[in-house]
Amino acid sequence: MATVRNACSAIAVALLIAVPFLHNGYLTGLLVVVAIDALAATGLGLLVGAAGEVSLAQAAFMGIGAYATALLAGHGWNAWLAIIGAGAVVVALAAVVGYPTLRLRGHYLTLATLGLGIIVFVALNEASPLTGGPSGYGDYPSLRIGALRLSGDVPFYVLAWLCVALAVIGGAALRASWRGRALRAISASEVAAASVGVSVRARKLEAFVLSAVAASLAGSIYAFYVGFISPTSFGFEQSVFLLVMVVLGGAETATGPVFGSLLFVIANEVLQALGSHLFPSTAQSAVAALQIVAFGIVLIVVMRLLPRGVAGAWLEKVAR
Amino acid sequence: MEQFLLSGLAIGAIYALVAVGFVVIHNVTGIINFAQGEFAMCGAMTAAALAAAAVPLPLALLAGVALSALVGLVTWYAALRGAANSSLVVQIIITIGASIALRGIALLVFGSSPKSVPAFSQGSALTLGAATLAPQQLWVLGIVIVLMALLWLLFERTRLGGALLAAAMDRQAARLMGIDPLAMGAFSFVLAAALAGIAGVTVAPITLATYNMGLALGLKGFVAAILGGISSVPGAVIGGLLLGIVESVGSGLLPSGSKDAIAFVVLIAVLFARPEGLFGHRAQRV
Repeated sequence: MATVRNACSAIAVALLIAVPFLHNGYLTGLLVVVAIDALAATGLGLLVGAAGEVSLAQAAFMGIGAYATALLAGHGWNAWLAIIGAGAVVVALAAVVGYPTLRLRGHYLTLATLGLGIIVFVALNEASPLTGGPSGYGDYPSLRIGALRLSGDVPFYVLAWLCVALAVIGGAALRASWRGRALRAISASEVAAASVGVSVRARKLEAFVLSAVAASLAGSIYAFYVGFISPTSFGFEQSVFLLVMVVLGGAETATGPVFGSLLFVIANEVLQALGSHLFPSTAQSAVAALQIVAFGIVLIVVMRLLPRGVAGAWLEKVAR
Repeated sequence: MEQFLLSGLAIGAIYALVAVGFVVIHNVTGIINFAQGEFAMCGAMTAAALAAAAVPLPLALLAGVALSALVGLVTWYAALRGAANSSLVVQIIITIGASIALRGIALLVFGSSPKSVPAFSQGSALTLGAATLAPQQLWVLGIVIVLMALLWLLFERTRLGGALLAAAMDRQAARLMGIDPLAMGAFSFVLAAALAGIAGVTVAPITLATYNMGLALGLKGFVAAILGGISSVPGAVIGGLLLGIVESVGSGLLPSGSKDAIAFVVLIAVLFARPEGLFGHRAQRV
């Protein structure tokens, strides 16, 4: 199992390194978006897989990360400091939402993050003097390393996948540490974990804040990569799609959500093609609807049949 | 002020219906159903589409509620029955999946533009002191009062309601008494979805029906249920009415865009100060 997983990961890493040399702009650009999603999904995977909690605000944290970064950079901050500043904003918000909700078991965090997601979406739309409202915000400088200006697909491809690699390594290390064991004990039984001295709320709060930070970083990279942000990228459905990635890949390992993001984008491209083939006249909204239906059903079917994720189940089968 | 109170009471009655559905499903199956708001949406959209197709209004409303109940039944059998003993995370993710699948189907079938449902009756508004209640708001309050009475009769006076209560209290003991918890699960989904459907078709003449109305409605029903202590039906009703009033008064004082934020602030405040709700037993705290 472990050798198959390592072999798969090695092949995946080799392929990812090869992609920029293919000079295929479409593929590179697509994989930048995959990396950004994978980063946010890796964070969510830690929360779902290790802590046994579900957040529906992952896209909202991405949105706050993106908007805070853009606004700070747009008001004269150094772009890298803006990324850190945005992370601090997200940490504070996640702590305020997580602290009261995570002392209770199960669905309370999901509910509170659902509410948070709705509010962030409304706020980004309504605070138009600051955020540009529904028409978006693009008045901020680009990311620089010294005098070098980062633009185009390849620099962001490298940056985003480096961040994914760091997040996966960090996530794996965390899962293997005493914190990871504590989190697994909590998701098995909070009462039992507490009775052997695990600080249930502190551990869950850490996992939630870390997952939000990953989303914030993903949002920051997204803001600089695209150069223009609008609220529609950070709505409820995007949060659910990130959950679909986690579920597809399996949340039990740190690499699962990354494979999930790849599976998601492949499924999404197939759906887009299928949708515009099935509904050539009504086009975009019908395709979007088809996408929502399909991924909703995917969530149900995968949880019912393969609760360890498609990627996880496949790996098990190959290893046997 | 009186106007805000009365309007709040009417919209709060809608939240109460959604909240009661949450409570019934939660008590019987232990599942928190994130698709509850979508059940309401299905009913409202169906009624709106039928009414627009010149189907007589009472028939359109009835069909909307019936479709909601059917959607609830299908959701139970297709998605949740086999996961009755799965972990909380699995159940939560399944209901989220059901929720967005229903949204997508509604978007596919009905499109994204808001649809109107005619008010149940014409006529002039009722004036109470400085405040007025539109006829539809009176309908909302009347329907909720009648439904609460019917629910009381169901739980206190019928064998079916008794079986439902027994399954909610202790699944194992209920099974020993010959009550099938899975059948009760199906019944709880049908009941909750029908209540949500009634909420949907009743509120639609006031707010219009759209494919994404379920999200906010579900969240507010949920907040109302937690306000009332998540496992108490009367608590959920009072929670819904309170939330409606707070939201109505708050949105009168605050800018209009913040209306949806009020429920969230109430939720966080309740979880901070009194997570067991206003009337509930102490929630499991670790």
